[in-house]
Amino acid sequence: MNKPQGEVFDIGYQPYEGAREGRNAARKALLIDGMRTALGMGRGLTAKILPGLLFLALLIPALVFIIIASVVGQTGIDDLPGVADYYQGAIYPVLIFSAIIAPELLTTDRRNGVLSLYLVRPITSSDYIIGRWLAFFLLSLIVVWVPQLLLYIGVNLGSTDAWEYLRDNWDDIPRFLLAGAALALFTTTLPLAAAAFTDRRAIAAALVIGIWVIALAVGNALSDGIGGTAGAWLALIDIGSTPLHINDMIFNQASDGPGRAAEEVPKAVRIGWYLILVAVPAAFLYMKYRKVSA
Amino acid sequence: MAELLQAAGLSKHYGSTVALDSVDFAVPSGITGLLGPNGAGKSTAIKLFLGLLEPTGGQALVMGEEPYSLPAARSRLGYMPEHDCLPSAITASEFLTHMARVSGLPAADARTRAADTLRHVGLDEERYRSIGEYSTGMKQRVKLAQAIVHDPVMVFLDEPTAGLDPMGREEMLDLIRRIGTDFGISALVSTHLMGDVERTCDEILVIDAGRVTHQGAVKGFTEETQTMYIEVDDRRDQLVAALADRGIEANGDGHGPLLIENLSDDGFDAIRDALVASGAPLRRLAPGRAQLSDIFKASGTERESGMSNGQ
Repeated sequence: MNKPQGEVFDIGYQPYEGAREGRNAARKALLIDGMRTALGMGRGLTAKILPGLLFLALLIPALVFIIIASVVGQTGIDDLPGVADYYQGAIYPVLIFSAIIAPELLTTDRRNGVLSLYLVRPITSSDYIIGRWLAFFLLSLIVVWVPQLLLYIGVNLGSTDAWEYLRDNWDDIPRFLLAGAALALFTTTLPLAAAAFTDRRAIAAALVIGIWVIALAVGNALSDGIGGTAGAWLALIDIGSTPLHINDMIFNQASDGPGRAAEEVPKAVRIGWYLILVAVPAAFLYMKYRKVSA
Repeated sequence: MAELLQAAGLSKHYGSTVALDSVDFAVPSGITGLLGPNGAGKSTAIKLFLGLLEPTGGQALVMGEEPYSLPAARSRLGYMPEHDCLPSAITASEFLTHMARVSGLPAADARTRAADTLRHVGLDEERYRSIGEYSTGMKQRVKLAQAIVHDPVMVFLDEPTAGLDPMGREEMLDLIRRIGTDFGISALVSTHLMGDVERTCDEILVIDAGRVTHQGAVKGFTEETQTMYIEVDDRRDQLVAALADRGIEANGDGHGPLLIENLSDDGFDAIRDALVASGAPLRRLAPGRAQLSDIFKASGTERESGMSNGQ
């Protein structure tokens, strides 16, 4: 008879005597969990499909431009959208991505009651909402920067002299990073603020998309119909295009996208309008969660 | 026993409503039952100790620290709420690991603790299933597991047996008892089921209308009384007469057991003689025992508050 190689003992409950990393570790855990939740990680396959498809939709325009650039060569590159005007058209997938995915970070925790478990741990409600906001902001940065980066690299490699292209256009890199950050800041804050109104992700998403669409239609209709200086100011109603104004200012270019009539409004006003559209939802979100209790 | 929780002149007002009225009490280590009718201030007391509410007056101290102004003090506390608090889309293992991380445990330790804790609450085999697929009893165990996954010093359990069937309730009460005896974690169990307190708790704290009305060891409230119960199969009336002949007044509702109040030491001999004389076949002779519900019967709050023995 073989001698047993080992035995399994039930040593019962063991008190935890390891490290306790405190509040900063808890904040970091919240941040990582927020990004995983948004991407459906740790959940079933169906939870991953929607963010995956939306992210793909964001990449497709950049991939198409890269393929065209490789075919047309140096002579046709100048006619293709570059990093400066990429989001004139590609902003809509970004807006839809944020409207649909961002509310998931807040509505599910409230609907399931998980929020009450966070609030009895060594974090505050402010830590919670800042963690959730930061998680989606970082994800949004990836979402807006990756297509831009691919496009920049693709066009660079498609040019006759990649080194010369880089030397002539190196300043586009900090510009698209900054413009992308401005876009991500905008598309993170408003959807999360909308998610503070309801426990249902679908309602929050519909609310945000409704705001984008109505603002786009009303702003551009009034602007085109009235025209002139008043029309330019009314074009600011199209709030979804506000990050594009910042993008155009960063690249120091004329606007070619929706809400372009607002170009005649002084820069300081357009910057102020952008800051208001970010700061007001952010303040609302912060105040709403600062008072929340389990 | 060391005092883990201390209320010093603790008050909480919601506008003109007084939820807690300058109460002073201390909760030692071990399992303590927090009893009281609806609206008595139990939940308010728990939220004050968890640092979720700011006291209107006084202090709510946990191991000498104020959790409201010092969130770090909550790292050694656990909380199992009465309401639903579980995500449905992720596995119990994933959820507990995350909760351990949010409590400050390093990633590797959090994973180990999550697996160990789920094993201790009897969910070892099911830990990789989505929580949404669990039964009510299993979800209740996950709620308990997340409250102790970071090995707290004190855990607050709010109506831990709510919604459970009799078998699930037995298992939950056994788990709570083990938390105190085997795991070495103290607990404050808020419940309206006095049977749960009698079964699991060492100490009891009774709150009514924002004030502490009773506190002490559970056994102090359930000790033997001076009442004696006698149950016979037949010849009940003859026994009553025989007892009366010996100067003992026996009361009863005509069908149930006979009750003899304030029996003297030599009364047992008289009962023996009366039983022999009457020829009544004895089924049971036992001293009475006080019940926790007697506390509330005295104040008339039991029926209107929905408090029950939960047996």
